Amino acid sequence: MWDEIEKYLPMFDSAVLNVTDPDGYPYSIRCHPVPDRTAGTLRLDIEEGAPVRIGQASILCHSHDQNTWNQKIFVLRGDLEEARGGWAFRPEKFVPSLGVGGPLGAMRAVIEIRRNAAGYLKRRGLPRPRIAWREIEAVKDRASR
Amino acid sequence: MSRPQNKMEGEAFRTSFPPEVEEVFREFRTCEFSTLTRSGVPIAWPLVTLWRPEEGRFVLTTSIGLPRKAFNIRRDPRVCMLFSDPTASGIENPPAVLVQGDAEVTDEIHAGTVGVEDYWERLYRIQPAGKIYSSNALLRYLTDWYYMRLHIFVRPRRVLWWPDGDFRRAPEEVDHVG
Repeated sequence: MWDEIEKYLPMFDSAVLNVTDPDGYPYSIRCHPVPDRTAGTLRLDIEEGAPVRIGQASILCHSHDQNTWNQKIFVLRGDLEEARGGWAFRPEKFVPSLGVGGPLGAMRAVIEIRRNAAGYLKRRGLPRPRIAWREIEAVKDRASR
Repeated sequence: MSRPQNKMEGEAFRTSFPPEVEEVFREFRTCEFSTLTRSGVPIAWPLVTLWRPEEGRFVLTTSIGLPRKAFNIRRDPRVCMLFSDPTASGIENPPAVLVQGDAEVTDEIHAGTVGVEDYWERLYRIQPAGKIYSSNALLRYLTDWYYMRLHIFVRPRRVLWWPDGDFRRAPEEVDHVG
Protein backbone atom coordinates (compact mmCIF):
# COMPACT_ATOMS: atom_id res chain seq x y z
CA MET A 1 0.00 0.00 0.00
CA TRP A 2 2.77 2.48 0.86
CA ASP A 3 4.44 1.95 -2.51
CA GLU A 4 1.18 3.00 -4.17
CA ILE A 5 0.70 5.97 -1.86
CA GLU A 6 4.22 7.22 -2.57
CA LYS A 7 3.75 6.66 -6.29
CA TYR A 8 0.35 8.30 -6.75
CA LEU A 9 -0.04 10.92 -4.00
CA PRO A 10 2.54 13.32 -5.56
CA MET A 11 0.29 13.49 -8.66
CA PHE A 12 -2.13 15.65 -6.67
CA ASP A 13 -1.72 19.15 -5.24
CA SER A 14 -4.11 18.42 -2.41
CA ALA A 15 -6.60 15.84 -1.18
CA VAL A 16 -10.04 15.70 0.41
CA LEU A 17 -10.33 14.41 3.98
CA ASN A 18 -13.71 12.93 4.86
CA VAL A 19 -14.87 12.63 8.45
CA THR A 20 -18.20 12.70 10.30
CA ASP A 21 -19.26 15.79 12.23
CA PRO A 22 -20.86 15.71 15.72
CA ASP A 23 -24.33 15.31 14.11
CA GLY A 24 -23.15 12.24 12.22
CA TYR A 25 -23.15 13.92 8.80
CA PRO A 26 -20.18 13.46 6.50
CA TYR A 27 -17.91 16.50 6.50
CA SER A 28 -15.18 17.04 3.90
CA ILE A 29 -12.30 19.44 3.83
CA ARG A 30 -9.27 19.95 1.56
CA CYS A 31 -5.83 19.42 2.99
CA HIS A 32 -2.25 18.69 1.95
CA PRO A 33 -1.22 15.23 3.19
CA VAL A 34 2.49 14.67 3.75
CA PRO A 35 3.42 10.98 3.88
CA ASP A 36 5.62 9.70 6.68
CA ARG A 37 6.19 6.05 5.86
CA THR A 38 8.26 5.47 8.98
CA ALA A 39 5.39 6.61 11.19
CA GLY A 40 2.87 4.89 8.93
CA THR A 41 0.81 8.07 8.62
CA LEU A 42 0.06 11.08 6.46
CA ARG A 43 0.43 14.37 8.31
CA LEU A 44 -2.46 16.75 7.66
CA ASP A 45 -2.87 20.53 7.79
CA ILE A 46 -6.39 21.09 9.08
CA GLU A 47 -7.73 24.44 10.22
CA GLU A 48 -8.36 24.81 13.92
CA GLY A 49 -12.05 24.51 14.62
CA ALA A 50 -12.82 21.97 11.91
CA PRO A 51 -15.09 19.26 13.36
CA VAL A 52 -12.51 16.48 13.09
CA ARG A 53 -12.07 13.82 15.75
CA ILE A 54 -10.17 10.62 16.30
CA GLY A 55 -11.68 7.71 14.40
CA GLN A 56 -12.45 6.24 11.01
CA ALA A 57 -12.01 8.52 8.04
CA SER A 58 -11.04 8.47 4.38
CA ILE A 59 -9.06 10.51 1.90
CA LEU A 60 -9.96 11.11 -1.75
CA CYS A 61 -7.45 12.25 -4.36
CA HIS A 62 -8.86 13.13 -7.78
CA SER A 63 -8.21 15.29 -10.79
CA HIS A 64 -9.59 15.87 -14.28
CA ASP A 65 -8.68 17.99 -17.26
CA GLN A 66 -10.51 20.96 -18.86
CA ASN A 67 -12.99 18.54 -20.47
CA THR A 68 -13.64 16.54 -17.31
CA TRP A 69 -11.65 13.74 -18.91
CA ASN A 70 -8.35 11.99 -18.11
CA GLN A 71 -9.54 11.51 -14.58
CA LYS A 72 -7.24 10.17 -11.89
CA ILE A 73 -8.83 8.92 -8.72
CA PHE A 74 -7.90 6.95 -5.64
CA VAL A 75 -9.24 6.61 -2.11
CA LEU A 76 -7.53 5.77 1.16
CA ARG A 77 -9.47 4.26 4.03
CA GLY A 78 -8.06 4.46 7.53
CA ASP A 79 -8.10 6.32 10.83
CA LEU A 80 -7.61 9.89 11.88
CA GLU A 81 -5.41 10.38 14.94
CA GLU A 82 -3.79 13.19 16.87
CA ALA A 83 -0.11 13.72 16.24
CA ARG A 84 2.19 16.28 17.79
CA GLY A 85 -0.50 18.86 18.32
CA GLY A 86 -1.94 18.31 14.87
CA TRP A 87 -3.65 15.56 12.93
CA ALA A 88 -2.46 12.51 11.03
CA PHE A 89 -4.20 9.90 8.90
CA ARG A 90 -3.20 6.25 9.26
CA PRO A 91 -4.11 4.52 5.98
CA GLU A 92 -5.31 0.93 6.04
CA LYS A 93 -6.46 0.38 2.49
CA PHE A 94 -5.60 1.86 -0.91
CA VAL A 95 -8.57 1.82 -3.31
CA PRO A 96 -7.53 2.58 -6.91
CA SER A 97 -9.98 3.92 -9.48
CA LEU A 98 -9.83 5.69 -12.85
CA GLY A 99 -6.38 6.56 -14.15
CA VAL A 100 -4.57 4.73 -11.38
CA GLY A 101 -3.21 1.26 -12.01
CA GLY A 102 -2.46 1.49 -15.74
CA PRO A 103 -4.32 -0.16 -18.67
CA LEU A 104 -4.58 -3.47 -16.82
CA GLY A 105 -6.17 -1.70 -13.87
CA ALA A 106 -8.64 0.04 -16.19
CA MET A 107 -9.59 -3.28 -17.81
CA ARG A 108 -10.07 -4.89 -14.41
CA ALA A 109 -12.25 -1.96 -13.33
CA VAL A 110 -14.52 -2.26 -16.38
CA ILE A 111 -14.90 -6.03 -15.88
CA GLU A 112 -15.77 -5.47 -12.24
CA ILE A 113 -18.32 -2.75 -13.07
CA ARG A 114 -19.98 -5.00 -15.67
CA ARG A 115 -20.10 -7.80 -13.12
CA ASN A 116 -21.57 -5.45 -10.48
CA ALA A 117 -24.28 -4.34 -12.90
CA ALA A 118 -25.18 -7.93 -13.79
CA GLY A 119 -25.26 -8.83 -10.08
CA TYR A 120 -27.48 -5.85 -9.27
CA LEU A 121 -30.04 -7.02 -11.83
CA LYS A 122 -29.79 -10.71 -10.93
CA ARG A 123 -30.36 -10.15 -7.20
CA ARG A 124 -33.57 -8.30 -8.03
CA GLY A 125 -34.71 -10.72 -10.72
CA LEU A 126 -34.67 -7.95 -13.31
CA PRO A 127 -33.99 -8.32 -17.03
CA ARG A 128 -31.19 -6.26 -18.56
CA PRO A 129 -32.83 -2.88 -19.38
CA ARG A 130 -33.01 -1.77 -22.99
CA ILE A 131 -31.11 1.47 -23.30
CA ALA A 132 -33.12 4.34 -24.80
CA TRP A 133 -30.49 5.15 -27.41
CA ARG A 134 -32.72 7.67 -29.20
CA GLU A 135 -33.06 9.73 -26.03
CA ILE A 136 -29.35 9.54 -25.45
CA GLU A 137 -28.57 10.62 -29.02
CA ALA A 138 -31.08 13.50 -28.84
CA VAL A 139 -29.43 14.87 -25.70
CA LYS A 140 -25.98 14.42 -27.25
CA ASP A 141 -27.13 16.47 -30.25
CA ARG A 142 -28.50 19.24 -28.06
CA ALA A 143 -25.29 19.35 -26.03
CA SER A 144 -23.26 19.69 -29.24
CA ARG A 145 -25.11 22.79 -30.45
CA MET B 1 -25.22 22.69 15.79
CA SER B 2 -28.81 21.93 14.89
CA ARG B 3 -30.32 21.55 11.49
CA PRO B 4 -33.78 22.64 10.41
CA GLN B 5 -36.32 19.98 9.54
CA ASN B 6 -36.79 19.19 5.87
CA LYS B 7 -39.43 21.15 4.03
CA MET B 8 -42.62 19.36 3.15
CA GLU B 9 -42.78 17.91 -0.33
CA GLY B 10 -43.88 20.56 -2.81
CA GLU B 11 -43.19 23.52 -0.55
CA ALA B 12 -41.23 26.22 -2.32
CA PHE B 13 -37.51 26.40 -1.72
CA ARG B 14 -36.66 29.85 -0.45
CA THR B 15 -33.04 29.75 0.63
CA SER B 16 -31.05 32.50 -0.97
CA PHE B 17 -27.43 31.57 -1.54
CA PRO B 18 -24.67 34.14 -2.00
CA PRO B 19 -24.13 34.60 -5.75
CA GLU B 20 -20.57 33.27 -5.57
CA VAL B 21 -21.87 30.08 -3.97
CA GLU B 22 -24.53 29.56 -6.65
CA GLU B 23 -21.90 30.20 -9.29
CA VAL B 24 -19.84 27.35 -7.83
CA PHE B 25 -22.89 25.06 -7.97
CA ARG B 26 -23.36 25.96 -11.64
CA GLU B 27 -19.80 25.99 -12.90
CA PHE B 28 -17.72 23.44 -10.98
CA ARG B 29 -17.38 20.26 -13.00
CA THR B 30 -17.46 17.82 -10.10
CA CYS B 31 -18.05 17.68 -6.41
CA GLU B 32 -16.62 15.26 -3.87
CA PHE B 33 -19.71 13.30 -2.85
CA SER B 34 -19.58 11.49 0.51
CA THR B 35 -21.86 8.78 1.79
CA LEU B 36 -21.62 6.70 4.95
CA THR B 37 -20.67 3.03 4.73
CA ARG B 38 -22.27 0.32 6.84
CA SER B 39 -19.57 0.88 9.47
CA GLY B 40 -20.13 4.64 9.40
CA VAL B 41 -17.02 5.66 7.48
CA PRO B 42 -17.56 8.58 5.09
CA ILE B 43 -16.24 7.69 1.64
CA ALA B 44 -16.11 10.29 -1.13
CA TRP B 45 -16.01 9.92 -4.90
CA PRO B 46 -16.02 12.70 -7.49
CA LEU B 47 -19.39 13.08 -9.22
CA VAL B 48 -20.95 15.44 -11.71
CA THR B 49 -23.95 17.19 -10.22
CA LEU B 50 -26.72 19.50 -11.38
CA TRP B 51 -28.20 22.15 -9.07
CA ARG B 52 -31.93 22.75 -9.58
CA PRO B 53 -32.60 26.00 -7.70
CA GLU B 54 -36.33 25.87 -8.43
CA GLU B 55 -36.53 22.54 -6.59
CA GLY B 56 -33.92 23.35 -4.00
CA ARG B 57 -32.05 20.14 -4.62
CA PHE B 58 -29.13 18.63 -6.49
CA VAL B 59 -29.39 15.89 -9.08
CA LEU B 60 -26.72 13.20 -9.28
CA THR B 61 -26.72 9.74 -10.80
CA THR B 62 -24.78 6.53 -10.44
CA SER B 63 -24.55 3.46 -12.63
CA ILE B 64 -25.82 0.18 -11.19
CA GLY B 65 -22.28 -1.01 -11.87
CA LEU B 66 -21.13 1.37 -9.13
CA PRO B 67 -24.00 0.96 -6.69
CA ARG B 68 -22.32 1.26 -3.29
CA LYS B 69 -23.13 4.93 -2.79
CA ALA B 70 -26.79 4.11 -3.49
CA PHE B 71 -26.73 1.25 -0.97
CA ASN B 72 -25.19 3.62 1.57
CA ILE B 73 -27.89 6.26 0.99
CA ARG B 74 -30.68 3.69 1.37
CA ARG B 75 -29.21 2.74 4.74
CA ASP B 76 -28.33 6.30 5.86
CA PRO B 77 -29.39 9.36 3.82
CA ARG B 78 -26.86 11.73 5.38
CA VAL B 79 -24.40 12.91 2.73
CA CYS B 80 -22.14 15.82 1.93
CA MET B 81 -20.87 17.41 -1.25
CA LEU B 82 -17.67 19.42 -1.27
CA PHE B 83 -17.08 21.72 -4.23
CA SER B 84 -13.35 22.29 -3.98
CA ASP B 85 -11.83 21.56 -7.39
CA PRO B 86 -12.29 24.60 -9.67
CA THR B 87 -10.58 23.02 -12.70
CA ALA B 88 -12.34 24.14 -15.91
CA SER B 89 -14.91 26.22 -14.02
CA GLY B 90 -13.59 29.47 -15.47
CA ILE B 91 -14.03 31.21 -12.12
CA GLU B 92 -11.14 33.18 -10.68
CA ASN B 93 -10.52 32.62 -6.97
CA PRO B 94 -13.78 30.80 -6.34
CA PRO B 95 -14.86 29.84 -2.87
CA ALA B 96 -14.98 26.22 -1.80
CA VAL B 97 -18.45 25.11 -0.72
CA LEU B 98 -19.57 22.27 1.52
CA VAL B 99 -23.19 21.12 1.29
CA GLN B 100 -24.43 18.72 3.95
CA GLY B 101 -27.81 17.27 3.25
CA ASP B 102 -30.19 14.38 2.95
CA ALA B 103 -30.25 12.20 -0.13
CA GLU B 104 -32.88 10.06 -1.78
CA VAL B 105 -32.13 7.41 -4.36
CA THR B 106 -34.60 5.92 -6.81
CA ASP B 107 -35.39 2.20 -6.85
CA GLU B 108 -36.16 2.39 -10.55
CA ILE B 109 -33.27 1.80 -12.93
CA HIS B 110 -33.29 4.52 -15.57
CA ALA B 111 -31.98 3.49 -18.97
CA GLY B 112 -32.61 6.81 -20.68
CA THR B 113 -32.74 10.51 -19.98
CA VAL B 114 -36.41 11.08 -19.07
CA GLY B 115 -36.75 13.38 -16.06
CA VAL B 116 -33.05 14.25 -16.01
CA GLU B 117 -32.49 15.55 -19.54
CA ASP B 118 -30.92 18.67 -18.05
CA TYR B 119 -28.42 16.52 -16.13
CA TRP B 120 -27.39 14.53 -19.22
CA GLU B 121 -27.12 17.67 -21.30
CA ARG B 122 -24.80 19.21 -18.72
CA LEU B 123 -22.80 15.98 -18.55
CA TYR B 124 -22.23 15.92 -22.31
CA ARG B 125 -21.40 19.64 -22.41
CA ILE B 126 -18.73 19.44 -19.74
CA GLN B 127 -17.47 15.97 -20.73
CA PRO B 128 -17.80 15.84 -24.54
CA ALA B 129 -15.55 12.79 -24.86
CA GLY B 130 -18.17 10.80 -22.93
CA LYS B 131 -20.22 10.73 -26.14
CA ILE B 132 -17.94 7.97 -27.36
CA TYR B 133 -19.62 5.31 -25.19
CA SER B 134 -22.67 5.23 -27.44
CA SER B 135 -20.89 5.91 -30.72
CA ASN B 136 -21.01 2.39 -32.22
CA ALA B 137 -22.59 -1.01 -31.66
CA LEU B 138 -19.56 -2.59 -30.00
CA LEU B 139 -19.09 0.22 -27.50
CA ARG B 140 -22.83 0.25 -26.80
CA TYR B 141 -22.62 -3.45 -25.98
CA LEU B 142 -19.53 -3.07 -23.79
CA THR B 143 -20.69 0.03 -21.90
CA ASP B 144 -24.47 -0.35 -21.66
CA TRP B 145 -24.07 -0.42 -17.86
CA TYR B 146 -22.98 3.25 -18.07
CA TYR B 147 -26.55 4.19 -19.02
CA MET B 148 -28.28 2.05 -16.38
CA ARG B 149 -28.57 4.67 -13.70
CA LEU B 150 -30.08 5.29 -10.32
CA HIS B 151 -31.11 8.89 -9.72
CA ILE B 152 -29.95 10.60 -6.54
CA PHE B 153 -31.45 13.82 -5.18
CA VAL B 154 -29.81 15.80 -2.41
CA ARG B 155 -31.63 18.44 -0.40
CA PRO B 156 -29.22 20.79 1.41
CA ARG B 157 -29.51 21.09 5.20
CA ARG B 158 -26.38 23.10 5.91
CA VAL B 159 -24.04 25.02 3.60
CA LEU B 160 -20.56 26.25 4.58
CA TRP B 161 -18.18 28.14 2.34
CA TRP B 162 -14.58 29.19 2.39
CA PRO B 163 -13.96 32.48 0.51
CA ASP B 164 -11.15 32.12 -2.05
CA GLY B 165 -11.12 28.37 -1.31
CA ASP B 166 -8.90 29.07 1.71
CA PHE B 167 -9.35 26.15 4.10
CA ARG B 168 -6.97 27.69 6.64
CA ARG B 169 -9.77 30.10 7.59
CA ALA B 170 -12.96 29.21 9.41
CA PRO B 171 -15.84 28.79 6.94
CA GLU B 172 -18.84 31.09 6.62
CA GLU B 173 -22.30 29.56 6.91
CA VAL B 174 -25.35 30.26 4.77
CA ASP B 175 -28.35 31.14 6.97
CA HIS B 176 -31.67 29.33 6.93
CA VAL B 177 -30.84 26.55 4.51
CA GLY B 178 -33.67 24.18 3.66
